[in-house]
Parts: sequence; C-alpha cells; structure tokens
Amino acid sequence: MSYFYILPGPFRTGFGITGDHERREKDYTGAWGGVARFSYLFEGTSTHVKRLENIIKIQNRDMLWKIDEWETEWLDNKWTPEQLLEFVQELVTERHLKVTQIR
Amino acid sequence: MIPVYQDVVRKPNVMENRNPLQQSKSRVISLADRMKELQTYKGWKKLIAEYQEKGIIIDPKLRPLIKMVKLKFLFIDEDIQRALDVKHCTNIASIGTFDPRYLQVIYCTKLPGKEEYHANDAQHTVTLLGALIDAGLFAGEADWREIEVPVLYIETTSKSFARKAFAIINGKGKKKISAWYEHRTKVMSVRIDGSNDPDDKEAFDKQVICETYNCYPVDKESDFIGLPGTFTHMQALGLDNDILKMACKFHNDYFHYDEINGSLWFMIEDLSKAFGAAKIKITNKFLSELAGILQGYFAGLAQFHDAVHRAHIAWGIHTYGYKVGWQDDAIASVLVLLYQRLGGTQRIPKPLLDRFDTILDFVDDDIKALYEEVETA
Repeated sequence: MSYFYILPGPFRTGFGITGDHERREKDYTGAWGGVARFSYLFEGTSTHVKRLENIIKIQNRDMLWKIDEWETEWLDNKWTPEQLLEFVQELVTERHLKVTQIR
Repeated sequence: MIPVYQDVVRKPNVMENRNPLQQSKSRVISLADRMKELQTYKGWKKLIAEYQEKGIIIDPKLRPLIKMVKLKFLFIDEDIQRALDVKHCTNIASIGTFDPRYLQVIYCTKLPGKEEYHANDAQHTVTLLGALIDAGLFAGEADWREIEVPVLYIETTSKSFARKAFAIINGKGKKKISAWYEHRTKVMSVRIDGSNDPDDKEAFDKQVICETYNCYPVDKESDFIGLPGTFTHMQALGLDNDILKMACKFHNDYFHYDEINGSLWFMIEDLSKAFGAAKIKITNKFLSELAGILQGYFAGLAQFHDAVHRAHIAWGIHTYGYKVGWQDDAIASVLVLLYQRLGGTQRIPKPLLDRFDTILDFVDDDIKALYEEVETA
C-alpha cells in the first residue's frame, strides 16, 4: 500500500506520498525540530496514489511553491490543509481514483 | 474480472482557446515587447545585477561588422572546417529545391590589415554559389570572383577564436529548433500562408486529426505541458494517419482529463499493426475494456507506462541475466496479457502474447495482488 499525506508545515501546507507514513512523519519531525503529524492521509495502490500526486504536481503546477525554477512539494498562496483536502477529495471522486481517506 | 471503465465528467478543454497552433493570422510583436519579456524574467534581472555589481562594461567595437565582400577574398581553413562534402553541395543545388533566397550570410574572421576573410561556416554555400555562377546559371554574372556576398565578420589573428566561432555556428551554444517548432512552421505555413507544399500539408492534416480529438502537440518547454490533451512526443506525428486518429480518439474517449502519455502512441500503433496483420477487428468493446484496465488498475496511462518499465527491467534481468534496453512493444504486450489474465475474451494476435509471455510475473506486487485476488475468488 501507498499513502498520500497532507501536512501543516511551519510555513505552508505540504503534501507527498510514502510507503510508510509513520516513518515519514518522523523524518519531518527530525528535519524541522517539532512534532510533525499528517492532518489527512489517503491509502491506495501505488499507481493510484502516485497518480493523485502527479495530478497536483503536473496538471496543477501553479499551486506549488516555487523557489526560482524549483517546484517544491509545498503549496503556495496560503493554501490550508483543509482546502487541499477538499481539492483531493474532489479529484478522487471525479477521476474514480482508488484511494481511501484513512485519517 | 476486467474493471468497467467509469466515465469522467468532461470539462471544456482549456487548450481549445490556448492552442498555439490555432492562429490563422500572422502576429507581429515589437522588439521592445520581446525585450520587456526578457527584462521581467527573474534570472535575467539577477544576471544584470551581477554585471553591474562587478562593474563590467562591454566594448561595442567587439560586435561583428557586416560588409559585402567579393568571393575572391574568401578563404577556408582546412584545419578549422570540415572537408568539403561535394554530395551535400550537389544536393543543396538540386533543381526544384535550390532557392537563392535561402542563402545565408557568411560568418568570417578577418585578418587585421588584410582583405582576407576566413569563412568559419558556410563553405558549402559559398563553394556551390561560386560554382553555379561559374556555370553561367546566374543571369548577367560571369566572373564568380567579382560577385559580392554579405559577410558578417570580426577582426582577429586568433585561430582559436575562429575555431570556437565555427563550433558555435554549427550548433554548440545555439538554441536548436525543436521538433515541435519544425511542425509549427509547417502548420503555420498552411494556416497563415496557404502553403501547398506536400510536407506542410501532411503536417497540417495530422494537426487537424489531433485537434479534432482535443489533442494538442506542445513544445517541451511549453507552459501548457500537463494540461489535458497535450503531448510533447512529436514522433507521434510520424504515425500513419489512421493510427494517429485511433490513438487520439482513444485518448479523447477515455482519458480526456489527462495529458497524453507517450505510451499511448506505442500501444495503439502496436495493437493496430498486430490486429491488422492477423485480420482481427479492434472493436469499441475491446477498447473500452482496455480503458477499464488502464483506469481501474493504473489510474491512467502514465502510471501504467511506469509499471511496464519496472516490469520490463525485472523481466529482462530474469530472462537474460542483465538489464536489457527498453523495448516499447512491451507496452501493448503487457496490456493484452493483463487483459487475458483478467478473463478478456477478445481474440488477441499471438505475436503480441508471445513476445513477453512471462512479463506479468514481474509487475508490481500490489498490481499483481489485484488480479490474484480475482483469480482466487
């Protein structure tokens, strides 16, 4: 199983995919020196989870926070985790993505 | 069981109005506007700030000069330029294709104080031009030595400079025209200029097929990449028109909400050729079933393509003992093998099944689990 997560970062809302969401939360905690916890978590096969991430990163690139030409996995323009959640839920429904919200 | 394709609500394709090949009227932009575009680019601003910070001022006299020069004053350094390709010269001068309006300015280095211009480029052009004049083919011109050509030159004694200039003119450091721009030139030649050139018309016909099915070729550097219906895989336009149409229609029928993944072209071409050779009709039902697999198991072609790549690597290592080069015919093969494994009843041409017959053993475990669950049930 793979996971798509939404996390409230210290500066902006982030997202990503992982095969081990507990480990990934610890990675964030270690990196920014504060307890990181994913607000929302989706579970599914790797292909559907990866596609979900790609739709955000490729088709909706204007949502991403960019440093010069580098497109990060953080959202620009004050997106909140709840707004991203709503966006993801709509995508999942519209495109029949086989991912399930587990948190 | 084969997953049933589920309709995705069709939204108006934004590319319909943003398609860069749609225009039928010429559009001219002033140099000032182009400069403004560059000057607002962050990287450019940073560079200029660096120039200013370092106090760098460029000598305007270093810019190249232009002059009409008699052919007799042109020389070619054999240690800088390539050998003369007489066949190439003959081809350029072919009847029906040679047009003197396409002749280019000659790039030279001039020895200071001497009326000697060493051509860094275009030796073929000047050689064939001299020879055409010598053959009496240019009206009113007899002595090639006295004919003047436009020369862009800089004065220097440095041969190493000439060498570098030659490399730059011949590609290094020059922005090459992409395959998309080549296609655009042909399409625009028909749309704007009404060209009847067969090459232009062929490109135009393919463009029309794409647009009919909401498919849009875009440049690899385009901001439109990723938008529904766009593709950068320009080899697709080399497909036979019927296959191109079938591929575009498949995309528009089932995956209109996605950008086009390169695997589409290989998949449809291989299916079409294999079914055609075996004289088996590709039915809409079959295509819908394939779309169901692609959507249900892979969320579209992009992830399917990635999964086939991974399976192909593992299959190659297992079969041959080392990593074999990518074989794009694996795309169609994996799909039809999966189709059969899921209980599909359409007759499949055997060559499609035989080529990678064990490759399904190497697909990702979570995909395998999906059809193994079905088999167990």
